[in-house]
Amino acid sequence: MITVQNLHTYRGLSYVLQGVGLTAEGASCTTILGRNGMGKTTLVETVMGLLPAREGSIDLDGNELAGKSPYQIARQGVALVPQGRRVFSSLTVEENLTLGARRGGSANPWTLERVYDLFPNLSRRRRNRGSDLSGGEQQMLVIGRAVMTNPRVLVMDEPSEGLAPVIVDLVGTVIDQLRQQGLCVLLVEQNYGLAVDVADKIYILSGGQIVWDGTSRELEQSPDVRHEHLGV
Amino acid sequence: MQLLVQTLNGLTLAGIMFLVSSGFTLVFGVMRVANLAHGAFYLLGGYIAFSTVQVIGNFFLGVLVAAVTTAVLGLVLERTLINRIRGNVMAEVLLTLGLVFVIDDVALAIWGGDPLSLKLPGLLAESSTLPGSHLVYPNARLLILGVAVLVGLGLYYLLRRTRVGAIVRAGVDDREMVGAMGINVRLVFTAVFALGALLAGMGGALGATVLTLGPGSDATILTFALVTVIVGGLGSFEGAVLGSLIVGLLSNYGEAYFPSLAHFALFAPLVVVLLIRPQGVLGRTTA
Ligand SMILES: Nc1ncnc2c1ncn2[C@@H]1O[C@H](COP(=O)(O)OP(=O)(O)OP(=O)(O)O)[C@@H](O)[C@H]1O
Ligand SMILES: [Mg+2]
Repeated sequence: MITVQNLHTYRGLSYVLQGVGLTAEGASCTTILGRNGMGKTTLVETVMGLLPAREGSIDLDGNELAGKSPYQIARQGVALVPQGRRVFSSLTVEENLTLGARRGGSANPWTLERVYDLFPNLSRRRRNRGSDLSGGEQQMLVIGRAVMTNPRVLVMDEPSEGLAPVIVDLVGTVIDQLRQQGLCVLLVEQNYGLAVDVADKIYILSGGQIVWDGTSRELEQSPDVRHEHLGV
Repeated sequence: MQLLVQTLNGLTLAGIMFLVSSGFTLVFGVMRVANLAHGAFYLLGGYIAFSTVQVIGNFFLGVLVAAVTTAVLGLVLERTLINRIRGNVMAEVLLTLGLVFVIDDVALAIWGGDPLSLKLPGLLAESSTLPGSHLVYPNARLLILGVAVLVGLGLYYLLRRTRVGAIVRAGVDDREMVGAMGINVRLVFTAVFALGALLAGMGGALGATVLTLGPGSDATILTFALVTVIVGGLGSFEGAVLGSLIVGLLSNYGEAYFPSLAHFALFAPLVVVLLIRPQGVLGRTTA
């Protein structure tokens, strides 16, 4: 379980996260929705240690993550599927997958074979460079790369961005599977449909603060919340 | 025959260029630090090899001592100074430039201001007839060629076939994400910087056998290395190979056939490349 409390983060001079708090449980998908520029990526990068938190705490099963460096946070069991995919373009598919591979104390760890079973496309292209892949394949690759570290928490920043609807559906299916295998998925999305489909719990981020939280069903039944904070 | 000799001389020079510039480009590619002290590591390597050969009389030991000393120096400097100012380009330039002055002055105090030339002991001072021809060529230069090829193959293997190499290449692509994969990037930086210094020191030890070694040699070699990596593409290993061949051959042909235009022969291709492909022949468009 990951618990974020009173998190404040600056990006350069701009004060982006202004006291964010949330909880994400294991074996579930917690989704953060919010319009452009509301601080979703800032939150993700603060959790991963890529941006320093000015104040607040990020607790993973009793261990404080705030103030640690990204590699230490990764070794504590957090993996990132970053916005814009960021595959290692000069590495082959297989090198991308094995780069950070760890067992991570998992009883049934992710291996190359399991990732290739999940994404047969990657298996066919294992010798290709990351830069040779299509957008959808790159998204599969970065999801595979992240699960190969056998994390406890998988943080995904807009994994559906710029993908064809079929691939978005695949991403949704994969998130569902990961959750069923016990992973805690922290998903940032702008794709409202995907979010309500896969989320067990939803937070809405606006102006650097959490302005609403509830279940998918509750959000579906609150058109005024959707309209005010998401414009849908 | 003359052309063949000049080509071999050019290749020897390319070998030295490759040793120096592969280290420079590796450090730049992974750490985004343009290490202006790289030439000073070369100079130091040359001097250390010179003294080791004088004392012990074994050139291979000289190369080894030079390489290890510069690697340790690079490691210590990275840990104590460079890692404090990471990301601040201006500070990096000033710091590495400051190191040049310090290293140069220390070298001046120890080895004096007269140019030295490393006299090779025993067989290395002699020449061999190349098989299948009547060409007699100095053993020292053949050794440089051999070492450059071996180091090139070794680096290629390290970079392309090992996990460490994959981490280094991934670091060139996206340093931040390497950290997010659970890899201690600081450790990688230290190792890469030490390896870069080692290559410069080794280049100095070998270079001192055919090029003069003295105050100013470091600036000269740094200029050559800069041209080499800019022509080949900053941060690209293959670029360093290609750039070294171009720079080594052109500058040697220049010296041999139109000495008054030697510098033109070296810098003209740089200008042409920068005009046509600003990122270098094998460089990538975005940094
Ligand atoms: N490098 C930067 N320096 C200063 N401000 C920045 C920087 N990058 C982003 N910002 C600002 O920080 C705010 C939050 O950005 P962030 O990337 O976290 O938003 P986001 O919710 O992820 O948006 P998107 O949906 O577009 O990905 C934005 O208003 C943005 O303008
Ligand atoms: Mg974002």
